[in-house]
Amino acid sequence: MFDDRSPIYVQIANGIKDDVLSGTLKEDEQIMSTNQYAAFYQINPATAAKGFAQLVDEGVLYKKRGIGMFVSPDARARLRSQRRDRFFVDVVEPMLAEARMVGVDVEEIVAHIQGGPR
Amino acid sequence: MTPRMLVASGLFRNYRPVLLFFWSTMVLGAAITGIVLRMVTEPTFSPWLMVAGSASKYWLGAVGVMLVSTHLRQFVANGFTRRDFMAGAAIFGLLAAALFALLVPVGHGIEQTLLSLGGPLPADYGAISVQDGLREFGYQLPGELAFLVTGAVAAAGFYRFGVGGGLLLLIPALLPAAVAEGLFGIDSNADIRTRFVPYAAALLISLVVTALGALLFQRELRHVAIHRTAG
Amino acid sequence: MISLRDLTVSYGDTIAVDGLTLDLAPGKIYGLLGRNGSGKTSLLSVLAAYRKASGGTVAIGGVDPFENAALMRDTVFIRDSLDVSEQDRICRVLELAGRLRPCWDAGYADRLVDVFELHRRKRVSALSRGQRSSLGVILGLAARAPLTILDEAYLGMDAAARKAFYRELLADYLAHPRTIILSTHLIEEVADLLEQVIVIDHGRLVVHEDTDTFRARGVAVTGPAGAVEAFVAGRTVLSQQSLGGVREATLYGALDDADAARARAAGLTLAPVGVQDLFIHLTSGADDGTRRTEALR
Repeated sequence: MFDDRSPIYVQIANGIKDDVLSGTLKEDEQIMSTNQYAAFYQINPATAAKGFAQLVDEGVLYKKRGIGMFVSPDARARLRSQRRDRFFVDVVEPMLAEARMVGVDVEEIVAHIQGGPR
Repeated sequence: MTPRMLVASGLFRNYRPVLLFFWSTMVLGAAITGIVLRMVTEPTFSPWLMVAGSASKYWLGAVGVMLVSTHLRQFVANGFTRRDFMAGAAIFGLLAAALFALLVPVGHGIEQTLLSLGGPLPADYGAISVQDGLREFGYQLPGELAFLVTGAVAAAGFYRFGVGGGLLLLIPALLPAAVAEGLFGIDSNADIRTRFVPYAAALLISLVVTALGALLFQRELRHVAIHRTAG
Repeated sequence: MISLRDLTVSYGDTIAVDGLTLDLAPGKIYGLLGRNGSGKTSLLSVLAAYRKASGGTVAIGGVDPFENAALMRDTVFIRDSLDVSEQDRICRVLELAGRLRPCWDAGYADRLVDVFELHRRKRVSALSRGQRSSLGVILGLAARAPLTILDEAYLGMDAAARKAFYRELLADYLAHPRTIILSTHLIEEVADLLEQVIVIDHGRLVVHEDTDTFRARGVAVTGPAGAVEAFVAGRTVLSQQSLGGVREATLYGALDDADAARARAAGLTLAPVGVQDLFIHLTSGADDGTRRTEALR
């Protein structure tokens, strides 16, 4: 379920962010409790809590005392804009580096993008 | 219940079925011996006293060993301190010894009743009254206590110090049983009696030696590391 | 709070635990990792008051557990030797625990007997190694003791039984939080359940930190030998191996983003190191171990 590439709590946080972005998790929707998360993924609840805490810090989640964790109302928009900002660095640059290494021209890439399926 | 009482009651519960089995066997054995004897000859002694009197002491000695080899770890593993275990075991031991010592004259009385059904008993048999029964109890009790303590101390020596130390400490460990056997016994007329000294002195000496044995037991085990015993 | 200060445990000339200092906050699941003979069991024995410390202090909530009735009552220690009467039947062993342990949950124990597929009427002496371990786990979990110590409780269990063990352990911890210390070799399997790891080697503390932090400490750097050498200079290298002109070096110490970028720019690949491998690297070799231990302090 979780790999060694990054700490599990980061993977959990990213998983929730993906769900928010994709619309699986709606704004102001309650997410599973740390215990439920722990039981479902067979991990220590403190790890889940750490992931949640990071998301609260980032403003993706907010806490309702005594009830649980909820998706922030502006979470989707916020995440989208964050990912947009990182899009070129995280996604495009690596693609271009690979293209360079393999010998693919920028023109070929552009042609593929324009001619390919959207 | 306090921890000590929990230990004591736990031990009693553990030995209850075996106890019943042991004493039933004793009764059966003595009854058969008695019946055979009655058919063959005039009983001049009490088979019960001889058999049950000795067997019950050795049996308690074995229980003493088991206290160390099995029960110590069992109770510590269930959250009891060594101290509470030893105190509970002492309560159990005292009561068990008293019970065993009591069952000897009781059995003797029953045997007497059964034997007399076949006809009047010969003078040599040594018929007993209630008073005699109490006397028998008083003579049996030190031995029961002594053997229990000897078993426990012997096992404790090996548990704490291994084979070498255990063998060395075996000498003081055997003293309570040896002293009790030396001072209390059954003479040629199948009468219970003391040797060398009168009853009061024998009782005192035996109890003191047994108490010292118990003290050695406590000293050996109070800080012992809990480990597995062979088998 | 469990506090160990300069704890020493020795058997004659052998020193099993050597001046160990450690603090463990209550209510977490800890993994105690160490090679055979590293002092794990001795450490746990002292914690459970099964053995007296040779030197230093042990305190649980500020009190020495040795011969302390309240602390011993609140501790359950399940170890290899399974401290039960061998002649007893399983049902009797559980019944005794039920009468003696204040927080024992008989219904839960009963459910676990079915989970681990044990037969109640079977005597302990007739159980297989794995079945003994299963019984140990049941005794450990159903006791619901505030301090639960399981010393390699999985020995002899097959993979399915181990999986059941981890599942039951986590479920009961979630329902009844308490301090749980698992000592284990099978680190990879159980790492996700651990909040913190404690690594000991040759009786000394090597690592004590959050599992996530520990996991991130190992990085395998692979690439041309020269480039690898240049990159790893000045860093803690746990091991290296070469195949032709390619070298792989295992580093101890997380790399930040800048380092990672530098590595990639130099044509090196970075890969995570599994907890198991990290543990092996940290604890192999006596003299290496000492040097390594110093480096990590």
